[in-house]
Amino acid sequence: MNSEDKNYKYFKKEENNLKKKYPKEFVVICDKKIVFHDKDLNKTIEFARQLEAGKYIIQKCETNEANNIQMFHTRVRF
Amino acid sequence: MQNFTAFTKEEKGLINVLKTQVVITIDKKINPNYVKIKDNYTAIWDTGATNTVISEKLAQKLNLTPIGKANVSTAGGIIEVNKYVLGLKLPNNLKIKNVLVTAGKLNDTDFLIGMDIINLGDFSVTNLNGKTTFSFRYPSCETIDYVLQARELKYKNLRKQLKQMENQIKKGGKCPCGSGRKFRYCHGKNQIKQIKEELEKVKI
Repeated sequence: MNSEDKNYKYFKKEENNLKKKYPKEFVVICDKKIVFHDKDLNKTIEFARQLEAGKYIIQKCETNEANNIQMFHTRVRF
Repeated sequence: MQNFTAFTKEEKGLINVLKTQVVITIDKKINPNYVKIKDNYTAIWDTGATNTVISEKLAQKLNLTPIGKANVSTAGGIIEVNKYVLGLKLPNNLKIKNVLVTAGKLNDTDFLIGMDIINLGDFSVTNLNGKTTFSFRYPSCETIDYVLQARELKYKNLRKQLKQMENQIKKGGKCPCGSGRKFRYCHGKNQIKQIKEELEKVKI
């Protein structure tokens, strides 16, 4: 399992707690730890630029479930 | 009104797909293994897409580094797919930095521009005289409301009509109905009353 998958697995496991702790914020997860959080995506990316690419993920702690799921009504398949 | 950047795409006839070219800008610290393929990519503007999508094949060819995952609703349920960060340059050098794009299977385009980008600005599609004009500006700076525009137009026309009738009354002319009575004492009185009532209804 690569770093991205490990960090994402941690996010999914802790998702409910993180949503309570950092509602509507972006979190940077590195080595299965929250190393940064902010409501602003640009600030979050600016922080993430200092880290080694591929070793971290950025996820939004979206409290509104409807906003958490992307919808495509036309030409895209997954 | 605040300053904004915009682009307009005019077509010779009516179009059923809103397509533009986009240029991608890459931050090497986020995507260190990026491989440049070409300068311009095709993008379809899709109001049915909640988010901006990059073709999965293109993301692989560009060797982008995933920055997390997104939940996507499909016919088979909710699945998790990679997302990436890049900057997009829209026509007329309209730059949007740090766009989170989701990877998906796209057949006829490299990108779908979704509501995440459309919501940043004002987006319009007009079809006057059988010619589609598609325009986008960033950031959003004005509300376009066709209902309000129709009311304003109606109000303006009624005011004009009222002024014409009042002038007719001032001149003391005869009613055009042929009764021989003065307009003021024949149809004029009722017509002015009706216009004033209409004006009250459409008053903004």
